[in-house]
Amino acid sequence: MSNIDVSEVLSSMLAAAQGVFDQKWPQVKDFAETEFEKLAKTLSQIEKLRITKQITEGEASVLLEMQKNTARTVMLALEGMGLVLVEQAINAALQVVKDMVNGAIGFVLI
Amino acid sequence: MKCNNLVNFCFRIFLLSVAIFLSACMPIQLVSDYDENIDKGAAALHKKIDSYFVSFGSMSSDERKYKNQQKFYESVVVDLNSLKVRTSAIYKNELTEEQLDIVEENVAYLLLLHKGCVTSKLTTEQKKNIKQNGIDTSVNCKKSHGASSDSSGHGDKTMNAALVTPIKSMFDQKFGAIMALELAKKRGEE
Repeated sequence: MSNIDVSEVLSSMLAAAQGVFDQKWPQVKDFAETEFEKLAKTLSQIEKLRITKQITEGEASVLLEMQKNTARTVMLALEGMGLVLVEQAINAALQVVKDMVNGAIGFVLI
Repeated sequence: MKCNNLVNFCFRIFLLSVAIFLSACMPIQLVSDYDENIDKGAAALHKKIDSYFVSFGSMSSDERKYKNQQKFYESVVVDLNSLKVRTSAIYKNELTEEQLDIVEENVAYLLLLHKGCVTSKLTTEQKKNIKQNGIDTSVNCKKSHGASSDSSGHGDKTMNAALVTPIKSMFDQKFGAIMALELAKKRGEE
């Protein structure tokens, strides 16, 4: 029996990520929820294997390191998704300026 | 003469302002464009690693020995290197590069586990060595590549079967994250 409460770990991770992503959270929420749940479940699985002595202390420490790395990969994907959203917001704002300038001078300047 | 210089100066300032304004209105790019080769390469490598873990359960104890899987690991390293080279050649692709570095690090850990090179809790130095020196596909355990100690002849070692499920899940998730980021780079285009 694992001592890790998957739903508790999941809600803590989601709360932390939501704070960081702030207004962009709704766009990445589905991906983050699914991935964080997988992370929490694997963590619980590693703990179970160690408690039942199916893996050694050394093996458990390698698995935990690999799991940290997996979490980093997910975070990098989220970071990239966030940057794409920021980029789209900036470019949409620039397009508005462009349309205003071209409209004001009566021909396509930019 | 002085008046001409002033007009010339004002004209240059005007040109500079127009240039700044025009460049400010150009679209900006914070993340690289979608690359089909990276998407397909990551999917192919994931399939290769996944097939290995799926078939691990039905392998004979002889097949499970490190020396009999060494060629497979070498081919994973080659595929990974080729994907990393492609990734690093693309503008604004640092995030995917970092993701692939992490996959490489985890392949290094996988090999250490298969060869039985980690005999106690990982130390900070071991982790540092893995980051710095990467994957060691030889049949030996090397401290310089993250092993607990130097020793040779680990070709007959087999991986603890209990490790397969969590490691498979982790690789599934890592490649899923790489492909998710690549698809996000499409920016809604089909």
